[in-house]
Amino acid sequence: MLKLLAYCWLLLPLTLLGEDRFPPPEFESHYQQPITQTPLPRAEWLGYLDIAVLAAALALAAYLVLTKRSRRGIFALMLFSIGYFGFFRKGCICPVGSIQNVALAIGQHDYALPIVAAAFFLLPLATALFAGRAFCAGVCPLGAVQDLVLLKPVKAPAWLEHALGLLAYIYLGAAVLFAVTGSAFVICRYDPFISLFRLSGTPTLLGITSGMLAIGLFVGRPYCRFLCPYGVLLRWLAPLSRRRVSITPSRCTQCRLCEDTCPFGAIRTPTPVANPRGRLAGKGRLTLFLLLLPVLLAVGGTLGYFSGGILSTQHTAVRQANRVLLEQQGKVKGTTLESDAFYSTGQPVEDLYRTATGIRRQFNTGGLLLGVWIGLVIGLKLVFLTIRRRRTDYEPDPAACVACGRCYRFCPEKAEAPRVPEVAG
Amino acid sequence: MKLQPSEWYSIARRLAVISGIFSALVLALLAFNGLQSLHVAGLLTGRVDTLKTQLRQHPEDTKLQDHLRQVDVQLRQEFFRQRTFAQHGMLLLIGGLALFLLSVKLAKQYRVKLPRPEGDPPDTRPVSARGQYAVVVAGVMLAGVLAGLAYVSRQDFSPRYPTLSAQAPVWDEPDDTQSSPPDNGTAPGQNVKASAQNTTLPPKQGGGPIQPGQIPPPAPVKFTPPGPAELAKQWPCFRGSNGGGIAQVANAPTSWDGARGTNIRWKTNVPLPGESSPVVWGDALFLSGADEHQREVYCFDANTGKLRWRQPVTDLSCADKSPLEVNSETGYAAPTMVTDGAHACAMFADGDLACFDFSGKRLWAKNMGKPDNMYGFATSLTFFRDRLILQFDQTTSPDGGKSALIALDIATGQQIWKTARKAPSSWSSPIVINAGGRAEIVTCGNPQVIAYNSENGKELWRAECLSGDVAPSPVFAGGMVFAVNTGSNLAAIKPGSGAIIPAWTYQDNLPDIASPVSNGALVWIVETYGTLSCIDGKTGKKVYSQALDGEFRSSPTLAGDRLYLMDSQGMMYILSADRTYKQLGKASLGEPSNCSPAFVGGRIYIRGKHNLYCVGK
Amino acid sequence: MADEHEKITRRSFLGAGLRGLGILAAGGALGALAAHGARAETVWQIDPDKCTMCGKCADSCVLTPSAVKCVHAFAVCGYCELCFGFFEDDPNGLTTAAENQRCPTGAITRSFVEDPYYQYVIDETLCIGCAKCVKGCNTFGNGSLFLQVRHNLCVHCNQCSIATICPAQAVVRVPADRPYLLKSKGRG
Repeated sequence: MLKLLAYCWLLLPLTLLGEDRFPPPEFESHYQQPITQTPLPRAEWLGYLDIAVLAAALALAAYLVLTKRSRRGIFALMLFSIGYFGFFRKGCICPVGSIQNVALAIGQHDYALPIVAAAFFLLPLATALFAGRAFCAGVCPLGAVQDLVLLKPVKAPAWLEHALGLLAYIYLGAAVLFAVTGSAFVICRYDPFISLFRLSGTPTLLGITSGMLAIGLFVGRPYCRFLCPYGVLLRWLAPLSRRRVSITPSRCTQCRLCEDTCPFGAIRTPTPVANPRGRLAGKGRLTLFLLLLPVLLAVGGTLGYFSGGILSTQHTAVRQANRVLLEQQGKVKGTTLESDAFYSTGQPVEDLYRTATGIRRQFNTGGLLLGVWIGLVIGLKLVFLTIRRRRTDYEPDPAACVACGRCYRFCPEKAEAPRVPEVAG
Repeated sequence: MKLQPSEWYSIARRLAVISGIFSALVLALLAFNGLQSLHVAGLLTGRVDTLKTQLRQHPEDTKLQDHLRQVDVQLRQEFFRQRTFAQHGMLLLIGGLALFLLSVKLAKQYRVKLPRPEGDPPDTRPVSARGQYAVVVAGVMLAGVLAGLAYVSRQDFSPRYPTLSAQAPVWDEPDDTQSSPPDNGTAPGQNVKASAQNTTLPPKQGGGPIQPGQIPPPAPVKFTPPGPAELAKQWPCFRGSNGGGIAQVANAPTSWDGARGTNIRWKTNVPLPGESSPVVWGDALFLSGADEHQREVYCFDANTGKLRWRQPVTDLSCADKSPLEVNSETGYAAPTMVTDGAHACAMFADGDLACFDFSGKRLWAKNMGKPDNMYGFATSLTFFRDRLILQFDQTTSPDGGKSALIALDIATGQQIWKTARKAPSSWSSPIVINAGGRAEIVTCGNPQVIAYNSENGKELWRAECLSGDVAPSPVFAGGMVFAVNTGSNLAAIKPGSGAIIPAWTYQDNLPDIASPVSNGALVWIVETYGTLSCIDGKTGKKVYSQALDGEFRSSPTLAGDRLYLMDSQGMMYILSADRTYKQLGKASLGEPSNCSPAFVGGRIYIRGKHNLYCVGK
Repeated sequence: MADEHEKITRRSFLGAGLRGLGILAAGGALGALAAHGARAETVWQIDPDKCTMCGKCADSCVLTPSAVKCVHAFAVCGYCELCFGFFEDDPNGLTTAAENQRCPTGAITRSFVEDPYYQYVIDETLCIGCAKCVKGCNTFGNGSLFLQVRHNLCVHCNQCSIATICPAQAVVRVPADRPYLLKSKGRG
């Protein structure tokens, strides 16, 4: 009797919940109820192992690029990175995507930045301050894949490269905007090689991967140069680096052998003696661009502010609200999965509208900042294109050089064991 | 044997060609396989489903059954074969591509072309006018893209949500009237007048008997649906603002005599008969009346009883021209009207639904179709914010296919949503409740109590606890919905989701017409033949029961600590709303009545068989 | 270049100091971001209370077949003889024949326990996460079948591709040490 009572108590909350249309039976046979299996995710310490591998790979890359100057070594490291960070770790998490985790943690207070994401974001940037873009050289699996598939590089004209180079800045701005607002991780959504590393993917992703691979056969590292948002950050930090990649281990004899060896257009030739007319024209332009800069910022900001509405549709709640509104106004017939999902929550539409309005406001502000950012990027690019630096040797542009080590092989100079005092002339 | 570089080269080249062809082949096969698997996946759901439907129509067809099983096995095998192929194929492809790349690189190693720089060194100075032009062009293009986005954003991609302030959620407003009943000490007449001013009826042409100057005359102001505090002061629909027969008044009259005129402010004749009850907003009282031939809506002055206007509801076409048959006890005007301070809507037994403004102008009217109802349609209207709610249960079978819950825009009559109900005819009226911040429409039917989302009419929960011809309406008090019908249960249901099992049920002396009333702690029900029962709201146990003389069809009302209960001869029993039966008084209307009274301010409006009474000062 | 590190000039010292400071500042800021929540390491999971069983999990995962599988909470199951997770609506008979089964891949095995109870077990190697059975069980039964991300299969994308398209926003980040949102007796 007592036992029966105890069971009744057990059953009581169930009936109140009203979910159990069919109360779980009490078996009379010796039936053993199976336990619902819950296979565990990857152990957490393995995440710290990833950090350690990343740090070691970065150190090795810096050593191979700056000290050993070995293209073969870099090549081997690339293979390792594709194997470990690519196929073994399935391309997640990577420093490129970690930008969004940082942005999301800044924008959304209920999201805490995972330690692994923080380390993946910081380590390559820190390395860039001491050894340039060592990360791009052999650690980044995305870069490595593109570096390996490059068969017949086509040299792109410099003007095209300048124009296309803007894309990466815009991509970075947009990715941060969408991540800060908690809408989407666009960098991950359109990751170029993720479906390669996973050997499967949605049709869109498979298309992006095969397209990028096909372009990569003839254009050197198209993603790194024209799209990679993390490359933008490295681009800023690499010129501040303590040590830089140099084509020659000792001195440049201006033999011009390395001139065409860089498939990424990163080698800068020595500047000819300046002619005074060009300089004047340059000065005029510089003034013009500097004056233009505030106009660009204002135009970008205005356009960006008003683009907020459409940009905000990347957020599910806004899409949902827009759809529900159309349905409520009777402008569309029928419901979608999204509006059905909302109705099934039973929340009042006002709540949804309020949430959506809040997000839309964020996007107006965000769009303004994005527009200003785009204006700034274009303006500064124009300004920098007028500024000239004197260069006497063939040397890589530290911002653009991904330290792949191709040019090393073509330099006839050998590292001098004891450094001979430089002879003038 | 050591291979010469040229031999290495030719090996590497051959390898590259072979692996290249191999990869291309695998890629083509993979692509073909991918297309095939899409096709098969479609068949797995599409074709098998069609066969299943066919089989359901001809369950005896063993040939079809065998065929289905065969197709099913084949397709499944194909599905998994393709999946394995895709997995293996991807590995082969990666291997082939890797070999291809390696051999090409190897071949290149043995055919290194040493650079031979010729001509002048190229000028890669950043000062390149072309570069600047390119950037400018790119900038212009970007601006164009942004401008396009901005343009699209202005357009319909970025709709404007209804102004939130105008649509403030009803339930968020503090319901001050709960704690402090209005008009303590003030003269009831003044109070009613004051609230009439507060409601700011939108000025309509004519203005009726409303004094000019009493109401500010601005041009058409968008009507804002009243909040709960305002609603509680009025009697906007059947059984008051919450539909639960709770009057937010403390000083309701306790004695009167309709025949002698004692404590009767006014008494006026209602031209056409009807079982519908009065609804009151400010100084306007609405009532409907109808007989076999005509239907009318009346507006009385609540202070004087003067008939302000009467409007016929005619010329609405109904496709079904067959004569309307109703039970004489139900009549042609049983559904009670609703008013929200700007509109007054009436429903009639023949399916005519009409909406008037306070000046008597007909805003819209439509025939909802002749109700297929054996006793005559009697369900009262209710409303939520700007929408009119009609529970339109018909036919004698749950599968009659005609029952529905319908929401109409109260201002235009446009249908906002309509949810089909699997229920036969019922005579119970829906109520709108605030269940934990969620506005739900609760309906009673046979056999279920069903709650719907007031925004879209989607079903939220249901509880199976009723049976028979359901006429009593549900009430909501103390977080529980109480629903009752004779021959089944009095059920207490906690709103939730999905199928709900009532927290408790009670089976003795259940009413078949009068609705229950509850203050949360106690629930009162009165059986038609006079047994009043009081049940504990938390436990469902009987507190007391008392046999009264008379028949009860009018629904009881709770006003403060008093329970008002009127029998069909117009005798009002005034009882103490307590755990023990205590009669505080009795008052006679002087004529029969089956309607439910309206309590506003210090007055009670009661419709008798022929006359409308205003009880109080 | 080669001997730069031997000569510590004022300039190089200052540069090294500034770089170190920059990294420290960035590290501190990131540390603060990592610390402002209780637990940082998260994985993706489906909240069965929000899931509307639309079936998009089956073809939106980066993996084919999807890492989302149907999971059975036996403690909630009613062991129904007529299980609407297993059987089609209006089945031809209560047999395991193909025409009666709801699952398109035949991933549910039905076995007799005792009169009138039957046990239903999901074969996850066959399950494609289409949610057909989940819908059946939730509409007519106790809802003991529900979708979950299986973490032995999931590759833990930084942004779950199902989460980006889920109409109910039911794919959420959960702490890595409690990676499942299982239905249990208490949850209902």
